[in-house]
Amino acid sequence: MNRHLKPTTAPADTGLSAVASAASADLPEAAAGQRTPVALRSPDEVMRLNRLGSFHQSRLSFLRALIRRLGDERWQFSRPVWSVDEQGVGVAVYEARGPHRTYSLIAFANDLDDAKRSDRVVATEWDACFVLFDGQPTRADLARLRVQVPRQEAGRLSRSELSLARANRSVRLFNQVRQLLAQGQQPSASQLDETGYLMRTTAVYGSGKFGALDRRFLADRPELAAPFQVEMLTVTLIRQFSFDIVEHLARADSPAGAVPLDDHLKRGLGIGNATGLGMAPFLINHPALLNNWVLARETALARVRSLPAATPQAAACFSDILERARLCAASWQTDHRDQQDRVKHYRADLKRLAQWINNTRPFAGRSPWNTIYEWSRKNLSQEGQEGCVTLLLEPHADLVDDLVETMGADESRDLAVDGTMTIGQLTELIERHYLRALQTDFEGHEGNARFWYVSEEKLEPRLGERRVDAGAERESPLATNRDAASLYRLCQSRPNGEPVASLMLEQPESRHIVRRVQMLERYPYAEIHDNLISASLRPIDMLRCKLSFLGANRFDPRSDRWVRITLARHAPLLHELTGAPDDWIYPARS
Amino acid sequence: MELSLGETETLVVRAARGFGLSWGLAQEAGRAALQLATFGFPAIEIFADLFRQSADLSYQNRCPVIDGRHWTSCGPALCPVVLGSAMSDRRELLLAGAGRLVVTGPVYCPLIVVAMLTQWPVVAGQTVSLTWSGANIWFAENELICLPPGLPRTHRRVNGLVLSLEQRSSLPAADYPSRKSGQSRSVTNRAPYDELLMLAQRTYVPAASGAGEQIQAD
Repeated sequence: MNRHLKPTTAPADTGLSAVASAASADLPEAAAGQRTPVALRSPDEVMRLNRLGSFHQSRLSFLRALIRRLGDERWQFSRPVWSVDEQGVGVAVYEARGPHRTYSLIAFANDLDDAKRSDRVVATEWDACFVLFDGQPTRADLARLRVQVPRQEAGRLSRSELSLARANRSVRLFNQVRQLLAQGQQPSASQLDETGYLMRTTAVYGSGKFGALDRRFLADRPELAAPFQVEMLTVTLIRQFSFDIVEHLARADSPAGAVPLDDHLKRGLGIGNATGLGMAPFLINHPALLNNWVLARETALARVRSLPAATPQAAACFSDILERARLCAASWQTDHRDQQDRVKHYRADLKRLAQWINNTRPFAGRSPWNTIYEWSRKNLSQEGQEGCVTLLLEPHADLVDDLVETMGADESRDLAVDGTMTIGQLTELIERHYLRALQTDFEGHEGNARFWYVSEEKLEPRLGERRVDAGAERESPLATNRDAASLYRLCQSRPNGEPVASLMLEQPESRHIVRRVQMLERYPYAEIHDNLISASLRPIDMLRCKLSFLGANRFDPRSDRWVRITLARHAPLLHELTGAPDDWIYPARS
Repeated sequence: MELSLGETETLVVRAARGFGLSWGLAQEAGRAALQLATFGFPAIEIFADLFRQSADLSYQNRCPVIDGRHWTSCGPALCPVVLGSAMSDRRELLLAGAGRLVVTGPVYCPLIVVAMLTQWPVVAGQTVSLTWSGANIWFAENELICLPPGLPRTHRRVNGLVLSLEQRSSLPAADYPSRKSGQSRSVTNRAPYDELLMLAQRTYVPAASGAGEQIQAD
């Protein structure tokens, strides 16, 4: 078997030759043979906002990776503390015990006045607040956290805490379910399907926020090595809390007549999330991480496309998942006009894909997965193309799941600037990685319409209109394409042989973008190839990209600046995780 | 009070930018603060002290004049963030060549320079040393030796620095315990923390209506 086939088509000038080899290297035995290695898609094709904003969850998404691990390692779950009164006020502790460590979600439940319920970041009270504790909390820990956690951003955590979160009820559905359970009845699946969750998180903070332990001290724990595992474990346990609290209140309403929510109905409920602009700069501020996420996804796609043939099992799996994905698409509700249009096209795309596969039977031919991909590229919308990427990965767990391990990043390694690089070399890098930026007009209104800043009130990222809003002089350094174009002009005025160190000493404002340009040689997928301050920017594209990697689905934009999603819908319940199939995100056909 | 390393870094980046450094240098400052904290130095206090001492200096007056391996200050004192960054930008030359780099003139808070240099990729068996009047510091990988122990944090403004590359075997013997990086928290008093918060405040903007705060409950 040839475990080190090199792709022949990786464009030499994109810096992708090295990373492309990862696509076809280390393929399992079964995948070897007469393969035609397929190159990674180029950054200029992938790293466009339109495409990033069409990404779907996949096998590599962090929630799915967590659920797989919890099942594979037979994690055990218990609820050692449930001290909640009839009004729903109190504390609960959920323990998650893995092979090496125990983590505890501590939930502080509140009886919130409906008038105070808001998902806005300026809210000060929530239906419940949570903290993920490293180990098992003592009474003293609970007493300390009972004071700090409900204060959220105003509170202080210790190195024993790993995340901080809060959630509100989806009032209408929560109350309906509570009433029905109290009456001894079950809600209908269609009733639950419309919303998809009982509670919706409005923030899940991790890694060093508000005094919590920094992620760097967790990176050597296998169960937390992949990105966002702390946050995903938090969400998974909050989902269980949402079931427990609605059943508890139903029992409080009717101690004799209440019934628990059926497990099959619980499975159809996830955790909602409302995400605004605060998440958008993450992709800019963590270039190495963004690179590793996209590189893993592109590598997975290239590995699958490189397969010479499809096994009958893989073909059957693909067809099955495709039909189930069509059901998911059919239940994808949104009021956002643009997204409605995209969902409509996506549904049509999946239908056409299914028909085309039935008619042409690509699995009988050579390189069937690449044939499917190439057909999708020519015939489907971007929403459909990226949906197809997700579907192509599904039958290939053995081929792609290991890539999750590559999706973290030690970001401290990449901060040094190479001052010995010459201006000429830097210029070449800008031309190679920022060609689109060099063709953009940043002087006119369209290209320079907005500015990113941090709000004084909540220290959250915001987007201002340059012509209208004050504060542009305090702009955050997120207009990377504009800054790269400016750096290019600066380089044009200096000798090619001059070291970059001299430029940065003389022009210190160039330093952050020099660092970034140099990083792109090592991280070709680190930069978004679009203008992030343009009048036509849709920040929800950035949100969706990140949320898809977390494992979200049912994207429901409420404007161009914030979006509602669902996590863990159809996931196995905590007591069902061991041995549960990994395709849970696509509900079984009835 | 106790801060996480991430909070320490973020606060110093914001404060440095509010103080007037470029974003790139502010990022270097944040990274230096994180390094100081991992070695157990009071990062917040050191940076508050730096910003207090050098408040009225222009960039040119914080910046070294470079003449080969002889660097000088043309202002009242050099900014350690600018100096450390300039050294780091030339680290390959400095690490490759023999001899010393001599900085003439006053330098504020030299421990910040140390923190920036601890991130250098030093070849095994070698160590970088930074010396100023009354202090010698050697560092390599995640280890740092101060001679005399504990003294440098009180050195708020020193006159000249010498940077050199030495063999690790020439380090002082075990009489001087080394500091290892690995601290997970940054401990500070409230006053310097508040000073940095005030500087960071200069980078914030009152939110405009429609700038993103629109999330409603259902």
